[in-house]
Amino acid sequence: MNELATNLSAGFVVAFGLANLMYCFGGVFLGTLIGVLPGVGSLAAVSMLMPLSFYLPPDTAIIMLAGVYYGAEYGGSTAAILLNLPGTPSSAVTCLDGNAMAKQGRAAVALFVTTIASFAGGTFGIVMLILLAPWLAQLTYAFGPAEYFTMMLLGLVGSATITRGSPIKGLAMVTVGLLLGCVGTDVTSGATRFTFGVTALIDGINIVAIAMGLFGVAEVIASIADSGKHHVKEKVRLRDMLPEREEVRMLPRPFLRGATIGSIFGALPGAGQTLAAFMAYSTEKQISRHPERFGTGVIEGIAAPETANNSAVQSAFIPTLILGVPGSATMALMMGALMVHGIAPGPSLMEQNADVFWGLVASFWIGNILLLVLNIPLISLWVALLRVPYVYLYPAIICLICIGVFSLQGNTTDVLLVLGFGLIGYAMRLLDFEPAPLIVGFVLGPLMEENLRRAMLLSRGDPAVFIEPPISAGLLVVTVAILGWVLWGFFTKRSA
Amino acid sequence: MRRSIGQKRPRPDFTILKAQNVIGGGLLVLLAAASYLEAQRYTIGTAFRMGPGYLPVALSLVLGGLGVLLLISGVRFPVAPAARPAWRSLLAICMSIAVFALLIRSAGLLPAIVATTFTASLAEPLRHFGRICLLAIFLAGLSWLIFVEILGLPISIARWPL
Repeated sequence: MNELATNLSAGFVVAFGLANLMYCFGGVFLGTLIGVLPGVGSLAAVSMLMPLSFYLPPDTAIIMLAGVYYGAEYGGSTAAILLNLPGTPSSAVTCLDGNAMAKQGRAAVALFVTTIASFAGGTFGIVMLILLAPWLAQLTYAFGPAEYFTMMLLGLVGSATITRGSPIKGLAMVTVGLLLGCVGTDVTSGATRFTFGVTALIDGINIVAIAMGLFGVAEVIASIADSGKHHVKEKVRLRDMLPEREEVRMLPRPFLRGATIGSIFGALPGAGQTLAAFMAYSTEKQISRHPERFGTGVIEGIAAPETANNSAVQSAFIPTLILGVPGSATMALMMGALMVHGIAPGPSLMEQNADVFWGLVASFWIGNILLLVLNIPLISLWVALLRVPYVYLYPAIICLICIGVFSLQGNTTDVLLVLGFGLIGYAMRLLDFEPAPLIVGFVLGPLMEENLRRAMLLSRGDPAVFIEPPISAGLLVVTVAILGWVLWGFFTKRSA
Repeated sequence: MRRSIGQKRPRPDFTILKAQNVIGGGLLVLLAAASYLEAQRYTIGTAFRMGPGYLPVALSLVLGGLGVLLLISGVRFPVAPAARPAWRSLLAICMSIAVFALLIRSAGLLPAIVATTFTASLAEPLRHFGRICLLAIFLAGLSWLIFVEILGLPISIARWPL
């Protein structure tokens, strides 16, 4: 404990250095701005600003990039709430209740709760990082391909239940997402599937193109027809940002639940972050006494996923720094930035470069505070954006989507994909299908298939590998239970 | 039952076909069939040695099953007719994205943004042409500032197609 205190104080000394503080602020600020842009998420933000970090000392470099990372996550949520445009796949679930709240004129409250949730989630994640890092690292060891598969299966089935309407539609959307995930090169065998000779599809469909099309373009097409339905207050004061008293009283528990889920899922390499947000939302919905209100603008519907999101961001650093296993592409970039400076993340990081590690941990907390301080005043600015008459706003959104998507890989096929998915997304709206489960299926599909086949290969075709180990069996039981509950509900329900 | 001369023959009720879940379920079944047929072209393998085609085939079957369930539930418990599409918005937005894709490489960033803005604004009856012009110029400038200057996107700002 004493050692912990010493390390932390050393870390704070590093983090409070003027240069580090400035770069932390700069990273958070730029990250938020870039994250708000539709189509440009945390991965794009970090990769765009990474070259800047080459000229900085190692601790400053990582502090800045980490600031960009969670700043961009926050920015993505802002766009999700205001414009129904998820900046990152994990903000797709914030669109559900966040945008509903914005349409009811409560955008300021939604943004405020998101800011607080991000701070709470980040703090929780940091505490987890400090106290439980070794244990969470062990958890990573315990998860083999079979466990990953069952965990993702649970996540998929759970995501099907977040829809407002019939879970059958949710499951169908998940399946469509899984099928879309098959487009591209199959990792295990190298064969190209569903590419129809289009070169740009060999790497699979770009997640941003799907998200922008299904959420952004479809939303714009639908909203033009009923523009004029946005109620926005004239001037947003602090009082307008605060949620109702009953809402405040019920907030701590979704925060806590979301943060726990986020820390656990975030620590697992793979699509931990997206999954964390969806699972947090799904859990809130199942536990709630009024699940049918979810999707209409319920405050737990944004509190839990946002907390989960941010604590997942913090715990994602655990496998990266301690085991040297990057959990996602963004983490791989962070690792790359460290390695450029000659620091090798992994088990030796805490011994050889303890100051970098603890300085980073301390800077996480400072960064989260900066995020809070920076963004609360900006809420009124963001909400003012909604006052712009929609007739001028929507061409701007379309332009930003187009150029945002184009800027990722510089090929026009991505833009055409946005068009295609915009059409599909609009058709889905007309038929009352929800896009969020599709995104989850799409993100998790290739990973699940890879783990499934790997598990089968390793066990030489023995399916008991999914049932024997305790973790996998436990996850399977929960999955089957949820599935059974869903189907039972479907067959015994009479239409309203 | 005898009809009098002026009455028309009662037409069968087709409205069920317009019900939300019927169209939705039907489309899902079509999609499942299409992907099943395409997936057949890849090696399927067995459950224990899965080839690339295994999962697509399995998913197509699951999707088809769900589609049939949805179709049946749509016929048995009709919920609502599918919403009517807003054709003008749809067309205008799709064309604006297509215009962007067409122009961004050949004509550069600024013409693409301007053209996209104008095409997108066709979704609403043209009211303030002057303001739309201003908006187009503003967006072009903003995109240039953010994407080319600040973020360093390697893209030509304007060029004359030869």
